[in-house]
Amino acid sequence: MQRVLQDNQNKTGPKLNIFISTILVFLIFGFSLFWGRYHIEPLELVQLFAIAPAEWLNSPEASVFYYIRLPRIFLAMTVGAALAAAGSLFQGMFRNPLVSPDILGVSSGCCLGAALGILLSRYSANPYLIQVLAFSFGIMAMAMAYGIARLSRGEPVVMLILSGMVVGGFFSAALSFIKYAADPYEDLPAIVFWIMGGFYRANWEVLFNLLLVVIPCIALLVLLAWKINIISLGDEEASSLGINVRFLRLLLISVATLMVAACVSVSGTIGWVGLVVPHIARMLVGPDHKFSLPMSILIGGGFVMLMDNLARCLSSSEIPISILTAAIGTPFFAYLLIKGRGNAWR
Amino acid sequence: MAIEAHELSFAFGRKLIIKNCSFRIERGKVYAILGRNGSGKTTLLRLLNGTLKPEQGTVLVESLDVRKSSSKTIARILGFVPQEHNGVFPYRVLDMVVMGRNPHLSLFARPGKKDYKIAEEALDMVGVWELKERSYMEISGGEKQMVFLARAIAQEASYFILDEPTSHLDFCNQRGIMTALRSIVKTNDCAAIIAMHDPNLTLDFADEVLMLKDGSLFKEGQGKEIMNAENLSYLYDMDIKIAKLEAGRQYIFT
Repeated sequence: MQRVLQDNQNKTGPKLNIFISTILVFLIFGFSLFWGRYHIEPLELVQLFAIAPAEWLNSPEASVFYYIRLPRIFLAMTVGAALAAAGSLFQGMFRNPLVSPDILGVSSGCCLGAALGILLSRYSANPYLIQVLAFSFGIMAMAMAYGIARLSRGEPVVMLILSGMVVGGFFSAALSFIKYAADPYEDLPAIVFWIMGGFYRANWEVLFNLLLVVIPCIALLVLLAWKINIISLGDEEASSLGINVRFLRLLLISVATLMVAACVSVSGTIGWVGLVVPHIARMLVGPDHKFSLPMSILIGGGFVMLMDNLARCLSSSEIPISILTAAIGTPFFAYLLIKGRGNAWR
Repeated sequence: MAIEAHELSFAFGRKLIIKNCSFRIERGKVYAILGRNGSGKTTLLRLLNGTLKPEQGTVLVESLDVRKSSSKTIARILGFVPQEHNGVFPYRVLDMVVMGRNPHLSLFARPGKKDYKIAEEALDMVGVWELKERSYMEISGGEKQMVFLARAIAQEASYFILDEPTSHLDFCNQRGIMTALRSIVKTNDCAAIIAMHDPNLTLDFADEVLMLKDGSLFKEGQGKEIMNAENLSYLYDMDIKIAKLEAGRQYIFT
């Protein structure tokens, strides 16, 4: 071969975009430190950094900053990153631009679990009852959707999407029943607010528990990013290229579900992140999941962090974050649809 | 060193699609499967690469049972060129071809410099190296077939299974892909198993022909010998004639 072989793996375009986005995420993180009901001036921040950890509880500024704001910012970033990563994976694996991380009924399961937890919390001393129930029901929903899809004999990808809708619908009905039966003065508002989502439950313990799940899951997805490209070609082609499709799909679904259920059980449902962010990422770095998955993670983290700043600052009481992500996510998505000239994959 | 199909039978529901087919695919030859629509050509190919599970019989790929071996093991030996691709992501052509390297890479590995070099060489071999930076959603049907053939070559497969590779191609591209395929089979000592529609193309490019009628292999053998008016008329249920042209070539018509 006479032609000069180029260095094909190291395309600079996507890498540059990823680099720029990383800087942006750091900037958003920096600004998030100041924003909030309790306003912190830049100079104050420097003073806050000077306070030794042992003294944090003694100063009101320091305790707000270190025990409320900082874990909250990290939590928002983690949840955003995880939802966007799961969305990117699911859109690729299901070959469907309309898919979001809730596709297998995970969110519906989590909401049902949380609602049950809210009802039961008056009989239980366990402070994590709601989270644990939300998480378990989320996993259960995915397991049911996967089980139903496996029992049917149709095209696996289509069956998974359909069975996810079935399970989601069933769990929503159960949730509606709980809402209907719940005490309308205490439990019902608690359930509704929980579902609308927010990071007001943030503390270091919650964050570390979540990171314990999310970091390994995200790492695994990024490591498998190239295989996601292959599985996105469809089952038969992926199989003829040497992929054990059933094993890989179950692995990827399990990893993503674990991560999403953990996030939703902490923050409630946060819509549109997992749907819109992967599209933005593909517009910026192309369809190759080696780039679009890390890009989704970055944008997701930055976007939710930004939305949480708005949730904290826009009004005197906190706005549920799912209202903001939807209110800003949908017009942006509409803009993408128009600008993308009907091709939902770029 | 061959693919051996032993008494294969396959049914969709109660309808028997493939009935008791046995044959042998040897390296160094181009095999064509001829038959009418619905005769079971695609099903037979999918039994060969292990996508479908036969009701009866086995497929041995270089003495490995195709249904009992891992898809990775089989993918190192068998390369599949799909008839139509319904992918949704506009991957770069080169990225598409390098996916053929997957059976040689471990679970967490990504293609490296060497793999991209092999992919480029494969594109060069089928003559579409110029396409490598293009999005494969934007190239023509004929170019896509070439790209998928390149991917099977990058896979370093010894047997290529192709399902009607020429069905969407113009006259020139049909001959182009068959010429490329034939030269690869001969130089690399591989084999190609192709479901074909055009008997004239088969006559020009295939060494061996398998005639599939209602799911049964009714004739198999060297193309020049069994592609006669009598067999073809029976195969296609119509009166088929063969004209002798100059230089010993033949033309099949009705």
